[in-house]
Amino acid sequence: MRPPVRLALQRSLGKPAVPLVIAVALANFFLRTTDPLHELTWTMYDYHFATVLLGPVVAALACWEAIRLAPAFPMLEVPRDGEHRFVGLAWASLTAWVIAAYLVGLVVVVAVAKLYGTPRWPALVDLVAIVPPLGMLALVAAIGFVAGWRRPSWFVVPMIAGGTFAVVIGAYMVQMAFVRVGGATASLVGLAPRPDVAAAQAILYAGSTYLVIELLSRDAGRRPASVAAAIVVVVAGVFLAGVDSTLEPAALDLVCSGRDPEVCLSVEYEPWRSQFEAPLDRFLEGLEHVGVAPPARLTQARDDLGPGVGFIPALYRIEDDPGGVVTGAVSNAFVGRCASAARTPEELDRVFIVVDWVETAYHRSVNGRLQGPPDAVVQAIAELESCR
Amino acid sequence: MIRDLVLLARRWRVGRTLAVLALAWTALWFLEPPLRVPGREHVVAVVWPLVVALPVAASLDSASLFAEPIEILARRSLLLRKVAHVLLTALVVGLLAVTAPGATDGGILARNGAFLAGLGYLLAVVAPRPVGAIAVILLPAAMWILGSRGPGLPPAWWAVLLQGTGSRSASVAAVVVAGLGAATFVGTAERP
Repeated sequence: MRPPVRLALQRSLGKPAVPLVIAVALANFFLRTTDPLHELTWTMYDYHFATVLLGPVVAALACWEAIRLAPAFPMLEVPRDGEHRFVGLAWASLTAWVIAAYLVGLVVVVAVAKLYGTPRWPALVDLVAIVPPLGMLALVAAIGFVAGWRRPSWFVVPMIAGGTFAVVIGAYMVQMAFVRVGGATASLVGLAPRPDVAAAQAILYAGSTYLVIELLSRDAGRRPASVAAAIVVVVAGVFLAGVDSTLEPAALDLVCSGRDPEVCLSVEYEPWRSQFEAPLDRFLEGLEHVGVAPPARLTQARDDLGPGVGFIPALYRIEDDPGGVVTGAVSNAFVGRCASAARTPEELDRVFIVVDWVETAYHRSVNGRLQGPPDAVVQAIAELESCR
Repeated sequence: MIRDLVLLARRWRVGRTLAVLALAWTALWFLEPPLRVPGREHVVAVVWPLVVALPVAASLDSASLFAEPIEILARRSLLLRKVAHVLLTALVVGLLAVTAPGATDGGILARNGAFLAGLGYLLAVVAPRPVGAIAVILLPAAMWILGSRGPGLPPAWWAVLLQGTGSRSASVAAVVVAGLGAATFVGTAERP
């Protein structure tokens, strides 16, 4: 490593800030919900939501660093055109420490998910999805640094942190895809981050970061060609990343076993199979006792349609709410899966009748006072299965 | 006397603080009408109580000046000037609370402003310069992300700034932190 680079890394404010960045990222993951730990993709993707909180932290750190460095710059006898290089090196050092800390936090989260039981390892697409959050952190570091460099006043530090937070929330509120680099409130089984969106986001953040450093340094305007190229890149990135969804359906690794019903779980939920099957078997035994036939298949595959096939929703809640997960899956098997997702009001009424009955039946079966379904429920099931 | 006040206002950058106050008021005005954001309705309701952090951070920027030699050696009483600074911050928070537009609740803004100002004053005494100002901004951000449980659910108990109007514990916390911060700030004598 060349001496100036080593020196810049050594004295960067990013170095003492490493524990802070790790702590903020991990707190942001573990203090919200630990549901994502059931799935590796979900764990990694949800970890990236840390950027919403880390963004203002990193912007403030970078601003602080610039205010620290600004008074020293005139005394360093840097060549006339050397300012952007000086700024670039100081920004890059800070960003390198922040990224290193961020990745350490990610490794910790993945290790906890492995200890928790997921059999999977990160796939290529999970690794690609790491790049956009890193780009976002690099961009906010550049904004914070340049703001502090141009106006070395402590007043700028809280304002740049508040401004970054406001912009990120604002962008989330208007559903801009390029700001959504991670975070999911429900299971990602059968879904994966889109690599094309991740690439567009990465291009956008790289171009914007370059522009911020280049245009806002005091020696701006010396490299018009590269600035023009960066503007083209940013505009292209905005268009490419401006899509509706940052996730897409992905191949599902299913493990099926049993008969009537056959239970098909994603390989990631195999460790929780018995927790799902135990209450399910008890409930289905009760139903059989009062003359209700069991479903043919319960599955986590979203696209598995057909009569008697039930989609298992929110399996990650099996420890907290086994009744909710089991009744959800059994109800889905009864209410059928007609081709159209949009149901008529009459169909919806029948769905509610069946779901209400399944939920009541589950709780009664726990108490051992289960009775056969009323005629209205039998009729509603028949009508739904025939897709009328 | 008037000349002294003008000098203080200039030194404390009161004009800048008032500009940030106007910015915060404008932000509240934008957050107040029912914005239709699919799946994110609750965000706005949780964000507006935090807006008061901006003018508080701006006002607290000058709190660290009192450690500078020129302030310590100044003719007027240090105690009086520190009390005046606390009153100025209180005035800024009060202005925002009283003029809070529409559906935003002035009582909650005043409570949150008091809590954040107390915290900022405390940190201005015990921590290096930008830490207090950063904390005043980032604590609300952290409370929003980690403390709000979703639409229709009450926030986490420790997310003081997100509690509703009737929350006695949040009011008590605000009064305690504000009192502690102001007392520490006013009562600490810097030495030249």
